[in-house]
Amino acid sequence: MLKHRLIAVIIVRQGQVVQSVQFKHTNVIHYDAIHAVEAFNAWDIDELVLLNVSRKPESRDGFLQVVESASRYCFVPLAAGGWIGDDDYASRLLRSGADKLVLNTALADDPALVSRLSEKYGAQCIVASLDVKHDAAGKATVFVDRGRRDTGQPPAEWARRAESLGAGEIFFNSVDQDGARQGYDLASLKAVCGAVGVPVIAFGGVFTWQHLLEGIQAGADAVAAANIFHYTEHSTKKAKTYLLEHGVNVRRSGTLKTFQENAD
Amino acid sequence: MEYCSRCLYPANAKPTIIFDEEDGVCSGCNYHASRESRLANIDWDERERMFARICEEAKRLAKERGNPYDCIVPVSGGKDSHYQVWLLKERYGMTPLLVTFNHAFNSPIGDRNLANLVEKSGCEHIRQTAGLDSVRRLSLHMLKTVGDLTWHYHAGIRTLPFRVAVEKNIPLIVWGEHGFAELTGIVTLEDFVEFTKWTRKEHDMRGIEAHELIGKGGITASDIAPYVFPTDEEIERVGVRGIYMSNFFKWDAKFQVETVMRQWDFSPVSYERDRTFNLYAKVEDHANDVHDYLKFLKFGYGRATDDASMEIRHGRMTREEGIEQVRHYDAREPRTLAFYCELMGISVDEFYRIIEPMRDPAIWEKVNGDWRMKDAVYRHPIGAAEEAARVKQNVDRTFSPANQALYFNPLNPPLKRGFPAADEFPLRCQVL
Repeated sequence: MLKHRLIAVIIVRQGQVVQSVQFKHTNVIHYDAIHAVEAFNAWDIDELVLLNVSRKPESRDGFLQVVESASRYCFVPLAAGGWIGDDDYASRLLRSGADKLVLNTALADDPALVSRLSEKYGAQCIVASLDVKHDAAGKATVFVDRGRRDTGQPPAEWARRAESLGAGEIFFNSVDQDGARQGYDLASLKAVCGAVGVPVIAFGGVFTWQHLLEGIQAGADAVAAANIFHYTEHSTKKAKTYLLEHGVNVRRSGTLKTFQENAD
Repeated sequence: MEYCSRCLYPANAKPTIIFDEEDGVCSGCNYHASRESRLANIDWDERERMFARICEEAKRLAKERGNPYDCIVPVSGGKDSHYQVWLLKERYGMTPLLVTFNHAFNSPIGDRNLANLVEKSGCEHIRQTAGLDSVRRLSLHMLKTVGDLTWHYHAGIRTLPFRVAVEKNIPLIVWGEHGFAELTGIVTLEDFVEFTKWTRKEHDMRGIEAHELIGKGGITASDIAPYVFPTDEEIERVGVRGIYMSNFFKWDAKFQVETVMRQWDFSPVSYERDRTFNLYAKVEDHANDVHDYLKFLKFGYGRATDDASMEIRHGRMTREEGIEQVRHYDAREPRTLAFYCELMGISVDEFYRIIEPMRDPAIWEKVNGDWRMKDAVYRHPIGAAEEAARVKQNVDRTFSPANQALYFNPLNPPLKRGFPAADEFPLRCQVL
């Protein structure tokens, strides 16, 4: 059986790592993403996702440098996204050291780009990110453009469409749950997991290790969090230990705090 | 330069700051405001109970391990250390081991207050003094490379307690405030942030680990020995965890200093300081004036901005009053500059030359050979945004007669305290 992955997401705005709360940036945690990369890398993380959430497209060049310096310290797969609007920028991100591309707004505005990138680099390189938001009546739709534009599409439909465009993975996020410390939007997450054949990464709202477990139970292949991993020492190791103790099959490295398996 | 619409911080404030897109209020002010339970839903009574549970667990563990101490408190002898130890001992019945990293740049009042803390608390105390040869080399190298002559402080203060924790098998280290949250709001109260090695490296040690310094500026392996952090395995074996008390108590330095002055005779100074109107914070650190002046030379603001911003957030000072303090103190060259230049074996001119390339072009420009500030908070008129961001004014005013001993007001200067350490400005530091 494939192992479940634990993923740390690093939210980058103008080169600095910020905390995101419902897509607003409330505080700056690191002035340089390197410090986060270094820590997570030493703490048994399985993958890293670097997202450029700056409001301005001019941030694109600076973000390439962040990806490049992160990739020097990162020994796990590195996905990068934000402002990927053309083939050239996608290729520059990959050449800066990204292993995967995270696409969000392009799914709405330029679906041909998504398919073209998938054909060129392979579906394993294309991560479709979808930001789910509920309206006042409780209806969930997918938003693009940093959570500002409503596509009017239900999450499951959108995920299916992303898969058919060539995405090899779905990165599920929730605008409402982001930074709210209440756990994932499990109903929408389940709907998305049930709709596609490609792996789904759950993201948005984790505040306890139990929230991670709930993501796996909802059908996610991988579970991700951002803010919480910055708060305590060896956070991602502790999260993995918790998952192991609750029967989740995760990768164990030599330095992971020993989880005593029952002897056969 | 953009300035916070509530306090006086500029957009280039260190270590990191962010302004709200809508009202222009900075992350430090928002952190401060989040203490009010109705805003962020923080239940301080529940947090105090959480703290009490942590203390009980620490006592239980100490008993289990046969350890005479249930926690470590890193102390400098300042107001925070007094308050931490007082609260832990008097209210929670803890038996802390006090640990001081002596960076060698002590003021007479600092040594007096540290001795006072050890005496009044009755706790056991370990003090490790850095060798002056290594301090000279490290300070000079750091001044030349990153414009900081106190790197060894932060490295030592954030390392020694962990070394002692590992050596003595003590799993809990109790820090006071989360300083960076307090100033510029790098983290939030809701997240219960604990000590991490990355904060130590990124923010306290400017991204430089001790071992990277070997061979630079004549620095040897033995020079950096006090700054080498235990390994991940050692930390995990003992299960060391560092918590911040400011996550569990509504932190207000003024209330705390009043408490420890009354309870344990902590002493502020009575002379006017060079860089701020505050008479009780960081008085133990003799190099702080030069350290803070470096911040001004690099980023265009200093300690008066920090201290006035804090008073403004508490509603004890208006923006107008705060701006006057910034105008009076931030640009002043400290009287101790010559002493530190002499200690490091450089001239004052050389000092200024070293800093030249570190001046932030966002705030500094050179005009006809002179450095000029491109902007300052006092050049900005108070507009609609600033009016809207004002906090409710407190009846307790910073410069009221009741606060005479805490804040320097030239119209109502503090009374002499009756001993030289508190009453006479010291030009030189004392190593012990």
